[in-house]
Amino acid sequence: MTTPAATLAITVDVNGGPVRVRVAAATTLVDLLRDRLALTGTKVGCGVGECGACTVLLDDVPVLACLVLAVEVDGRRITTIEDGRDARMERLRAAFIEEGALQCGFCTPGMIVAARALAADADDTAIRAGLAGNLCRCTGYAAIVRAVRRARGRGPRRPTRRTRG
Amino acid sequence: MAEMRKKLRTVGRALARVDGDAKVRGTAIFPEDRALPPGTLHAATVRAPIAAARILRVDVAPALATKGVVRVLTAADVRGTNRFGLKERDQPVLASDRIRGASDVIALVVATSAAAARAAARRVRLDLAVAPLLEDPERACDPDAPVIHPERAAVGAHPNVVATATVRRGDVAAARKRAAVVIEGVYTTRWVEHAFLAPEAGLAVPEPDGGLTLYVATQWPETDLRQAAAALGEPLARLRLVQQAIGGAFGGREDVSLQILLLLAARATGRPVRMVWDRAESIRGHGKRHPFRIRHTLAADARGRFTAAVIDVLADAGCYASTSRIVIANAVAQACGPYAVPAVDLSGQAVYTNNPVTGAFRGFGVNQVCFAMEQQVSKVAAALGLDPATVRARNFVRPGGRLATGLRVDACAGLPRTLTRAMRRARRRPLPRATAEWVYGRGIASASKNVGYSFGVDDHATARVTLSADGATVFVGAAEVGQGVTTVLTQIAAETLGLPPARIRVVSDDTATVPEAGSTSASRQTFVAGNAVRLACARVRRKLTTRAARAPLPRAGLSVTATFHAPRTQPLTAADARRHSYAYTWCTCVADVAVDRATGVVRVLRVVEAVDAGRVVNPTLLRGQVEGGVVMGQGYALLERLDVRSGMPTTRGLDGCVLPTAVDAVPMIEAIAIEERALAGPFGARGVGEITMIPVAPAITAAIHAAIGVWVDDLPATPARILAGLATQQCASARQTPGNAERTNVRARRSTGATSPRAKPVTKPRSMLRRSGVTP
Repeated sequence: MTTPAATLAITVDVNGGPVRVRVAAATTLVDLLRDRLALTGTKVGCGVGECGACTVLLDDVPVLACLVLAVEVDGRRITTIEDGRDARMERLRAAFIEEGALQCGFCTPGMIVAARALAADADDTAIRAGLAGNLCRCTGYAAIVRAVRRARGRGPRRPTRRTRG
Repeated sequence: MAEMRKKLRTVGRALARVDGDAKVRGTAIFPEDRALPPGTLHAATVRAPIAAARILRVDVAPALATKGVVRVLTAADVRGTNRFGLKERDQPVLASDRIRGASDVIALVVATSAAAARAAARRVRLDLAVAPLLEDPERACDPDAPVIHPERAAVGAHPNVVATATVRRGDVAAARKRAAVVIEGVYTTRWVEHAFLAPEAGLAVPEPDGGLTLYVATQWPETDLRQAAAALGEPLARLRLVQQAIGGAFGGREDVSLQILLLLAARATGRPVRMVWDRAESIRGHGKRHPFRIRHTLAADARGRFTAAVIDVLADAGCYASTSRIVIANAVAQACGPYAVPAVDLSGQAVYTNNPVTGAFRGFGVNQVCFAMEQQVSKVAAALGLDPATVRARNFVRPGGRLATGLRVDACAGLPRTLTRAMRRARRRPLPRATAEWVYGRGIASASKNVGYSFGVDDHATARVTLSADGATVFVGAAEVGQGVTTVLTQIAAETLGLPPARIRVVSDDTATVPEAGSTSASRQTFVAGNAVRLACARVRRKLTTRAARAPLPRAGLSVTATFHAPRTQPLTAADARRHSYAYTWCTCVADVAVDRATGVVRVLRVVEAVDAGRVVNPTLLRGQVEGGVVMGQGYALLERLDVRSGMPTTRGLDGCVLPTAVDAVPMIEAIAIEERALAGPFGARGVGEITMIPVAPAITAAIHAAIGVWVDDLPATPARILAGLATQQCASARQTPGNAERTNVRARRSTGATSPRAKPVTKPRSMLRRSGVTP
């Protein structure tokens, strides 16, 4: 069990704000975010790096927060779904809603964060490859790919057309 | 109805989903996101280490002695019946005398931290006597088979039979004799895991008034509580369920999982209790899709019109009944799909084994029988040298005609249009030419799915509409499972009240304040809850107009409740199966695949799916159901597995389930809506949750056959099975004439008719597969 001696003080930039906490050596980044900082937008679907629901950006690089120790992020920058500063993330949010790229919404935070890290000129193949570590059981991914494209400003601008019989 | 003729403002629009903003910002609260009240305890289960055993002794002392442990609960602590289950209450909350399968929980540890609870759970000592294991459903009714539920011995039949279903109609023997072709086949399907992204989690909180509040994500709040009340001996009125955001369901949250355990622990300790399952426990803790073995005989005349079908289904129900009784009835009722077959002998049986529990999963027994039927239909077309689309169109039930069970269907004018529209769209893009590596094929399959409970169950929902100064609040207990029912009901309410959707608020999340709408399952909420909302809103409107004529009244505070009862149905019985369902949806799926002959790998390049689910309330949501259903169907057809050894799931994580990723998923999915607005659905809408997945697997296996000439009759169609099929084909062609190579499981019958195409070597069916690449 945790003893004071086994904890370490770390300083992390979370969504633009400095956070100073003491964490146990075995605390994962996702536990730090969810349990200590109450940032529950980052989800745990498997806890072992198989589903991608806990994807966050570590210095702009997507990582699985369930596989990163909190002590590893000392002095670094974390971006989660709660980050309201980023214009590109905001475009992704709007595009996800418009394209119907979310249903149950559990994979959505990780999906949006992973999409934020894609190259701006990613084509469909690159988008799919970049999101291959993020499972979605509801949408079949098609709408997610459309949403990512749309957020780039390269997708269909017109609203989804109604298909008629 | 008048409202159908006039122009609609909100219904039919791609309204943004009402829960979208919270979900893209990470502020939607799933059960595990809920802030914990002070003093919250954490629970962990002690699960069965083997699938069949007698429990001799449970020693909780070492666990109790663990630091942080508050209570260790066993069956002795359960004050009610200690039994739950959706249709038959045969599952113990905590097992006391015997272990029947992997899902059994023997003890529940409650501690001050989750880590302490888990550590202590490992210290509970079980003294078990290994019991004989029943793994093979084919052997479940042997005289010497171990009996899974001995208390059922008096029920009649074999005690391991959960349920049977039968439909006999017409003269099967005579019809078979007249047939030009009789195809026989045996089809098998395996367990599938729902793999919803959020494992089960919840929080139970004791209230000052003696009640208990449960914060979970479920498909059927009131039934969870009813089962809990009986199992725990709690008055139902003291239990309240507050629905949280749900991380996927697909049928896997229709059964109780951790609800009763949480309530038990909160009552026993008097403190809030939280439990979050990891993925391995989630896989053990909820039911799977039923593995089926289907023996199938389909007879047709020379023009490909079906004359008879004999279908026998065996389903592995696992160790508890769950919804197996209805699943097997549904499988039998839908065994012949959307076709009119004049003579049938349909039978089904679900049996207990020590395997994982099987229950509801998107399609509810229809996916399996549709796979078998559609393979058979494709084989009939191949044997007769007919176009598979033509054979389907010739056999579709017509308005006023009868399905194989004898059920009269009026609202099926959209069915043939699903086929013509899907084919027309598919043909716009020809298949690529075969390369040294890849060969291509196009396959087609059609499907039907009943909407609503069916089989005599009272299918109803209640909605209450309350007006306020700035709009209306609709209270209706239809669980949002991600499919978008809250948005659909918002649109129906806005349309009926004549208000903008922004002024409607739909509240569905609290059993204390919201009237019941039944389960979110069977593609029923748009139809049933939608009608309840429409009814309540229409009454509000009528009241407003009549009152407005007299004097201007404050609208705020006006509240109207209405209940909608779906048309009555009857149980499926051999004698009278004429009214087992009240509404149907129809679908045709065309799949283009590429097969690598060297490795057996199949890639699905494109799927076109045309659905007739009535009027489309929200095109974005409908498209989402199609795209999600297609990829789930692709996983079912080619990839997904749940491995079980000695009754225990050996698949412990999502990787082992082999779910499609963004890279595997069909890259091109085209959805077509055929909006045949018959029936009493709200504004002519019916429901679309399940149908979109059902025809995908047989369309893919038909496409595989078109590409390489191999019928894969066992799902999933793995590379190993495809290579085995190719190897068999090579052996066969070495021995036989090339034309007969692929006919190993096709038995052509001598026809009594004058023009018999029976012994004709299989030629490429005409129009559809014209561009299907190489001949085997």
